[in-house]
This record gives sequence, C-alpha cells and structure tokens, in this order.
Amino acid sequence: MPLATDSVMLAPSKYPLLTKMLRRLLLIVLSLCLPTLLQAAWQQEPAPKRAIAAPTPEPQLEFPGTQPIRAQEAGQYSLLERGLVLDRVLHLWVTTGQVDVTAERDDFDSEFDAEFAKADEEKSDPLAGYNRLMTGFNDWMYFAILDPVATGYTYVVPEGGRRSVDNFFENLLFPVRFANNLLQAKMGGAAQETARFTLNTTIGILGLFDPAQAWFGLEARPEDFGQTLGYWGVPAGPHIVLPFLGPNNLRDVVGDYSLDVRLDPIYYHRGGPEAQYGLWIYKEVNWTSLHLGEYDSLRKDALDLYQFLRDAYEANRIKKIKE
Amino acid sequence: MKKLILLISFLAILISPVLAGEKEEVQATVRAKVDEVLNHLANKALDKKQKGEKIIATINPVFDFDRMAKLSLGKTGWVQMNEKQRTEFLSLFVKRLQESYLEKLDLYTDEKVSIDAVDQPEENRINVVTNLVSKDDKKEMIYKFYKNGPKWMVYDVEILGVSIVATYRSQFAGILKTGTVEDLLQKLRTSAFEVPTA
Repeated sequence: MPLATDSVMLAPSKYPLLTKMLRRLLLIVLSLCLPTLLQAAWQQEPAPKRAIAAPTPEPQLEFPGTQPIRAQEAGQYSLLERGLVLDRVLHLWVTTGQVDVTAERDDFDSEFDAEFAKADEEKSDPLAGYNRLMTGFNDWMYFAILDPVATGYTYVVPEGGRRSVDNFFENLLFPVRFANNLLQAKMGGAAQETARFTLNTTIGILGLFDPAQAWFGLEARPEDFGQTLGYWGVPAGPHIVLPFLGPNNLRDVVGDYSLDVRLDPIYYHRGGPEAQYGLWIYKEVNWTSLHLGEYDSLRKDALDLYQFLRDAYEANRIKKIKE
Repeated sequence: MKKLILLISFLAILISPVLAGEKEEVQATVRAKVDEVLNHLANKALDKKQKGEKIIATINPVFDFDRMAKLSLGKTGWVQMNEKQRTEFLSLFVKRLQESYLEKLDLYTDEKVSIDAVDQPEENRINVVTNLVSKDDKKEMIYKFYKNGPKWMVYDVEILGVSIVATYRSQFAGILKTGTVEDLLQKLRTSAFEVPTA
C-alpha cells in the first residue's frame, strides 16, 4: 500500500472509496493544523530590508515572508508551505487593495505622513511676536514668584489641607460644569456633576472632601464655555498668551473669561475686586502647590518654549472638545 | 466547489480570532511593561540612576526610539543631514526621549496605571489607552503601536492629547525654517535634561 502522497491523491484511483477517505482525512488534518500554520505565518520574519533609496520596481502586493516561497520552483512545496501559501492567499483576500506597509518600511516613514500632516501645517499665528514676549514673562514669573510662593506655602499647610482647599474651589465651580454639560447636550455629565455637587457639599462638608469620587466612583466631568463653543463649531481663532494666565486662544478667552467667570461664585463675592482677585490668586497658588514640578518637567520637552506650549495647549483643547 | 466555499468560510472564522488576538497581545505587553516599570520605581534598593537604567532596559524592546526620532525630525530634516549628523541626531534625540520619559515618571510615584481601551484604527496600528490615576486626577497616556515586521512597537506617545512626536516635529520644522541642521543639533547638545532634578 503506497503512502498517501500527492501523486496518489491526485491520480485517478482504482480505489475511489479509499481516495475519498484519504481526502477527507487530509482536510481534517489540514483544518487542525491551520491555527498553528496561521500563527507561524503571522510571526514569520519580514522580507529582507531594502536599501533606503532603492526604487520600488513596480507596484505589487507583497506580504511578509513571501520571498522565500516565491523563490522556490513550483511543485516543490511541502505541506507546511502549502498551508502558508493558502494563508497568504487568504491574507490577500482579506486585505485586497492594501499595499503591505512593512515592505516599504525603510522608505522614509511615508506611511506615517498622513498621521503627522497636521503637525506639518504652517499655523496662522498673527500674534506670535507678542505671544513670545508674554511667554517669556510668564515663564519668568512662574519661576521667580509662583513656584517659590507655592513651595513656601507647602511648608505651612500640609498636603491634606491643600487638597481640601482645592476640592472646595472645584466644588464651587459646579455651575460652570453643569451649564456647559447641558449646553453640549451631555445629560449624563450634567447628572453626574449634580450628584457630585450634592454629595460633596453635604457628606463632603461644603466640598472640602470628595466622597463622590472616593466612595461612589463618580468622577468630575469638567466642561467649560471654550469647549462648548468649540463643540458647536466655533473655530479656535488666533492663539493668545495672556499675562499670568498663560496660553489661550480667542475662543477660550471669550468662553472662560467673559462667560464662565459669570458662573463662578467668586465673581459675586461682596468684597469687591480685591477680595475676588485675592481668592483667585490664592486658588492658583494652592493648585500650583499640588502640582509642583509639573511645569518644569513639561517645559524640558521644549526646544522652542512658545511654540511647544502653544501646540500642546491647542492639541489638548482639541482633545477636550472631542470628549 | 461547495467544499472550497466551506473551507474558505471556515478559514475566515479562524482568522478573525488571530486578528483580535493582536490587540490582546499588545495590551498584555503594555500591562507587563508598565508593571515592571512601576516595580523598578518602587524598588528602594536602587538609586535614581540605576532605576533609570532598569526602566530604559525594560521599555527598550517595545519602544522604537529610532523610529520616533526620525518621525519627529521629518523627512525634510533627515535629507538635509549627512551620515555623521544623522548618527549624532539619533543618539542625542533618543537620549532626550528616554530622559523625558524618566522625568515624567519621576513625578508620578504613588499613582496607579489603568489600561482603559485598546483600539486598532488600522490593521497595522494599535493604540493602548492608559490612565495615570492619582488622588485628584487622571492623566491619559496613549501608547501608539505600529507593526514592525512581526513585532508591535511604540512609535509615539500621546499625553493628554499632546503627541510627543507631533510637538517635536513642528518644533524641528520651526528651527530648520530659520536655522541650519547645525543649529538644531546644537540645541539638542545643550539638553535641558542634563541638570539633575532631585
């Protein structure tokens, strides 16, 4: 009895039943082996690297690991290779129309071009000259005044106290978050903010603590008018660096300093501007004391401080508006 | 013919878990690496320098630093450089990226890292969304992987919506617009990270 080689299988057989059985058997074996074969094909080493500037001979579909198989003469395939070819065919079928990127990965990163096209755009920046000056001033101000004051403050008030102060001020800003969640039709956010405000104002003793998050897992859902305007399609407008307040754009200046501020209870403090600004500055110092070192760390990624802070600010705002 | 159709549909079913498996595989890698890094950070037997070395050794196999450097520079800058400048650029900038990463970790010691989502926007891209969870806030950090041959590697990290590669890319473009390759290298030579922090 000859072995079940291909020749036997494919030749017209004197034993039709046996051939049929063998075929079935082969099919079963093949099916059982397939996961392994697929896995093997998937983890194959990629085609040998091409030189950086080597011209592509012609557009063709290539898949990792095709080279060694293509090099072989037809008819010399082993069972394993047949499995691989089958897998390739299927891969082709699955990814029809796509040129495999690994094949050209040594051409200079063209596959990433689309992704970073936004970074390559020249941004319109009419206020660049003023912004640069103001960035320099703010940077100086941070290290000369804000940072030392906040650091000194940490020696006076322990972290727990500072965190409570921060919680208290955050809780006060509930109207801003609530209104802007509503204005962006984020009912879940508005409800969650309401629940947080209720819990933190009562159980959390006027917002000094945050049991809503700690015990009930209710996270803050911050939204501001700048985001609301962005949500409804208002463009960012030119980038503006404000003294003390830092990077902004026109939309956020309008949103935060003419609209949001009217929902901030501090704005209605009876002590007048002195008390109001005093509270805002204290709030800022307190916040900084909880985030010491972050700005220092951030600005080390800058080769050009203004440009870096501007791009980081705008990218962060775009993300927040999308959320 | 019927059998062929059957076989193909059977194979199609087999393939889908293979594709889905990639996401889980990358997610598992991130989990393992993050845990390893956190362990190094918490290890009191190591001084700061040793910690840094251990952490870099941990992430090196999955971070494609060279790719990150090239992407940050962009093609325009790359073609302007000669072989020597390229080598210098890669070594300076990779060092900078690593130091920047360590610097960020330095700030976050007692925080937890959660992996909140894994998506595969394209066949050869996987984004792992992680969050640094601290007492008062969450910082989103996305590790962006691409398929480098058989291996998934990080080509960009996005922190709070800010892509490291994109910010460097526009800064480099800005420098090269008014200056030369030498100016760019000079800026990198005087690295902001050389001053010890703690």
